Amino acid sequence: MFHFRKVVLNISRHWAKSLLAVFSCMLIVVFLFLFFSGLLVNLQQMEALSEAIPIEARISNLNGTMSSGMIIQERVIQALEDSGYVTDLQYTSEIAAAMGEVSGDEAAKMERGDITFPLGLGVNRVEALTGASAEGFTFAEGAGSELLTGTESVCVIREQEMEELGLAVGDSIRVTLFSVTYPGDNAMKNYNRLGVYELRIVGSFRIPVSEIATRAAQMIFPVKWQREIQKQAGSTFFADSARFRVAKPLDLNSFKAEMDEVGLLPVISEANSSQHGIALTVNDETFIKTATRLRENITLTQILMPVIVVIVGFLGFVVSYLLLQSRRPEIAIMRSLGVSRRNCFGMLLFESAILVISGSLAGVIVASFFVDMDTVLGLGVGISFFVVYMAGTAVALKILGKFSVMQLLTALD
Amino acid sequence: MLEVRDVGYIYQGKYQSIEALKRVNCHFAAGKFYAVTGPSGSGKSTLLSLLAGLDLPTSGEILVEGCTMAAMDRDKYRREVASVVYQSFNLFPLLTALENVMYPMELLHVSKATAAETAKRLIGEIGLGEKTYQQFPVMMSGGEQQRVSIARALAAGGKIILADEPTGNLDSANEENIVKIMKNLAHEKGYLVIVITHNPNVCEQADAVYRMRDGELRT
Ligand SMILES: Nc1ncnc2c1ncn2[C@@H]1O[C@H](COP(=O)(O)OP(=O)(O)OP(=O)(O)O)[C@@H](O)[C@H]1O
Ligand SMILES: [Mg+2]
Repeated sequence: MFHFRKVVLNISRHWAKSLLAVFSCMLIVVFLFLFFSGLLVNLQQMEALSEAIPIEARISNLNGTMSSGMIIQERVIQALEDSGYVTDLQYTSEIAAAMGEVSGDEAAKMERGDITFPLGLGVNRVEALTGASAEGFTFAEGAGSELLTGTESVCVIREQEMEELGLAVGDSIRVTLFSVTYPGDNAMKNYNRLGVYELRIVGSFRIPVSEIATRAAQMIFPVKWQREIQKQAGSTFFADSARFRVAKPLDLNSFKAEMDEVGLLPVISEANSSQHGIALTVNDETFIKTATRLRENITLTQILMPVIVVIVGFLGFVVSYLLLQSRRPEIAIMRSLGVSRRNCFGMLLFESAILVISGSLAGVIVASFFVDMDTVLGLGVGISFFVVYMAGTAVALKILGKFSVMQLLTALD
Repeated sequence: MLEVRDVGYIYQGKYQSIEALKRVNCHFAAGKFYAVTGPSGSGKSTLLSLLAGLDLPTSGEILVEGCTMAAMDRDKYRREVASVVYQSFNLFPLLTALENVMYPMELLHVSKATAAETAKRLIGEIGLGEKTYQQFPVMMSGGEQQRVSIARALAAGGKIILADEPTGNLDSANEENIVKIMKNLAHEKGYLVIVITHNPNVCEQADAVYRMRDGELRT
């Protein structure tokens, strides 16, 4: 108690120097906040980068010329679905659909390719249909695009066909489905009859004319349902297109390693054209550029960190030394009256601590006008500053306390 | 009470060192009033500082009631046993006269009220009025500062009073008063009082006079 009262008294009697100490701490703290909030902003930007600059990837053939109508192994699709690095996976699978029950001769003809098939497409979500947003779709009341993500035997039919065939949403239709494969390494399709299926029409869709050329799907099914019926029919499932976003763009390298393990190759533009979807195109240029710049900023700041710690400690030392050196006689008098060296040191350190804390608080308040202050930043910077600065002060006090009381007091004589 | 044996002291400066005391031997008994005199620079203040335990002798030793100073807690010794009136007063510049006098008592955890009361009494005894209580040392004359410094030395209640020219700045009336107080402390209360002085009047009143010359003591 005696100490505390004396300390407060000292602070007020030395008010000009106290103010100077508080003010210099405040300035340093404000600077530190500007510095560290800059770092924080960079870190936050880094974290938000995945959202701001999504990395899109798609499966293509080896020379990168195709993005649909390929043969993509089910194993690859499964690996993408299971991967923690893949999000928003959209994939489609071609399937041929004929209205009604087709069997025997007619089916054989169809399989030979004598009759052209309407194209059906299994999709894992609406967006997988190239160019189609959910806007082109009309669903039955109470139904929605989520039906396409499930395993129910439902379908969505193109408006044109709905009109031609006189169908309406809610109708059930019977269709004969054929799996599609590419036997040669070209666009030649092979059809294999899977069976007759009853499907409920849950909606219709319209694709802009410009898109028709690329993908003239007339009937859409949930791809998961398709996978199931193909499995039951003993037919091998292939996807014909797949694209997705990279879930953890900051782990781009781990992602690429995993894709490598799956067997997906980088695009080689000199390769021969092929139907096999075995390559991966990743649009990561912008992301890498931005991430590299941010990372450079962050690294620079982190390199500066120890320098700043040293500077703050040094400032703590210099400021305290200069402000307290005129108090040597005072210390000598205290010592001559029997105050121990430890108590002298403790009282002056305590006095400094109060000033430093006041300065830090003032600094936090001033800095909060310039930077977004949050508790973690405030406490982190405040406490670190206090510890480092006080370490400098302690060293200054240790040095200032190293004198002969006797010489100083007799020299005053 | 105090025994000085073969004491030498060297001031160790950055560029030179000065031998201030050479083989000093003497003895001071409780209940007596001593005067130490000698020309300027003869080592009087140095001896007094060593008696106060501000430092240990470079050679020889000082015993306090048979116990060597080197083995003692000299901070405690200064808090509780020996009080010094310095030649240059050494008052805290930023404490008022009253606060300065209260300081040693507060170090001994005397309550603030008691300390203030004792301090006021002592300030009265050494001949200063109430108006001095709240004065800072810079606002006081040399003689006033000197007397506040004496009051502070008396405040701790230690049994050894070491005073370096305590009457150097005082008029004869005040000088007489201070000497009377010092003598009383020695003779009535059994204190050991050692006073450095150039004043023959003070020497006359002392029970014993030590003379110093060039760091040596002659009786
Ligand atoms: N702080 C100091 N540093 C170095 N030398 C000192 C110091 N104080 C005193 N001395 C030296 O020690 C010697 C004795 O000094 P001291 O102060 O003890 O003399 P003194 O007898 O008290 O003199 P005075 O009557 O002038 O007060 C002197 O030669 C002086 O130069
Ligand atoms: Mg002297």
